[in-house]
Amino acid sequence: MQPLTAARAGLISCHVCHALARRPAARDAALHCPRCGARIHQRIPGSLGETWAYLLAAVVLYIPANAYPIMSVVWLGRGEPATIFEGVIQLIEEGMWPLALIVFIASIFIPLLKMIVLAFLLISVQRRSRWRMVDRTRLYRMTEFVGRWSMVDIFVIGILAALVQFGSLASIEPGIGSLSFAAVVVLTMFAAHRFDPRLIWDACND
Amino acid sequence: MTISCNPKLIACHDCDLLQSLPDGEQRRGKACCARCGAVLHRYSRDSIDRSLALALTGLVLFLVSNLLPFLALNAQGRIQDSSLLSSSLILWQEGNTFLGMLVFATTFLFPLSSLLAILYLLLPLRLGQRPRFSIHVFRYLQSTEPWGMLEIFMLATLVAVVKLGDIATVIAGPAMYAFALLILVLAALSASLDPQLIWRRLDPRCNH
Repeated sequence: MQPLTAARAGLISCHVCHALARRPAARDAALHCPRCGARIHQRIPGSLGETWAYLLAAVVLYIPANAYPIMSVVWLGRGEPATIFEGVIQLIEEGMWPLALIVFIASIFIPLLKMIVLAFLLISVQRRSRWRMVDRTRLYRMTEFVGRWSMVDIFVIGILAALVQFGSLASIEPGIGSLSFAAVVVLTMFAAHRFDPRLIWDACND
Repeated sequence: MTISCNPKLIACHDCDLLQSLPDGEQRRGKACCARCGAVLHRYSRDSIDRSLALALTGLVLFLVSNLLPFLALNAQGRIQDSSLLSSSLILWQEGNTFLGMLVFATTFLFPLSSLLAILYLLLPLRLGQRPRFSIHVFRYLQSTEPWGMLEIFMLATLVAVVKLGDIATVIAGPAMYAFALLILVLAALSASLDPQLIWRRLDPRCNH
């Protein structure tokens, strides 16, 4: 027996307020939530295409985010630019292990993991896979929850730039890498937002 | 329309399974989806009163954190002050408009507007009224929720302080303590806020 979903019961659940509405007979009629007025759809329209678009844009920008310096410490007029990875190495060399671990997890591990997981979810949905659907939904919730924490490095750069302003003596300047990195974080957040996890479960109805 | 007006009936937002929520009034904890485990509903006692108190506290702490000095750096006698907003201002001034705007939005604009939105909604609801544009305000509040990143900024502050600790003396300003409290208050606020309860109160189909 197939489980009773809102879709099979002829109902649509609002993305915003989770109210249930009856699906109209005409297929493409624009429908608004009876409670909060938001446009409602059975599934996010164009979910897979839009998620892919944001994801691919993030993957492309991930290259300059890692290849270019994320921040330079200008000391007596001489700049010392460092990429994300070099920054982690520097912290390890200075013996700041806990910091190195935080920066590694937030700036390298989470963005990479998030992009891989989203690509995996998209491909498995497109192949209508029924493999471990509970775990794949959990994976989605995890990536959605954890993605924002990659902003840590951007904030660190902002705080350091605001504090270390000693004219020609010392200053801290964000590099091109930080701009691309921030864009990667924002784009992957959009990607996760556009992905509709209910598509994972639609494979049950085949 | 009996099915769609039943407030106990809900479709899981992650897997679309239809299920009915257990009776909410005396319950604590959360209700999870029977199929995928998503959190369908968090029960909270005196949700509106508590959230209102926490949002007011949060607003005061937010103002204090932004108006007083946040961090200061003492490098060989020269002292550099900074406030919460100065990181986004500096990024902006140095030509990083995108980064400046992003930091401004995530650490000032969204947190402040969501605190104000909660107060705007809950104060009249507490008094039994429905404020104007309440549905639009609550939709805005729900959709901008992931973009308030104060707790991440707190972690970034700790990282920056430890990083600078080697070369200079970092002095925590009064705003820093208010900010740390603000993070706790905001966490408690998001735990006590019950969106389903508020949506039910705002529902134009029902007359409260």
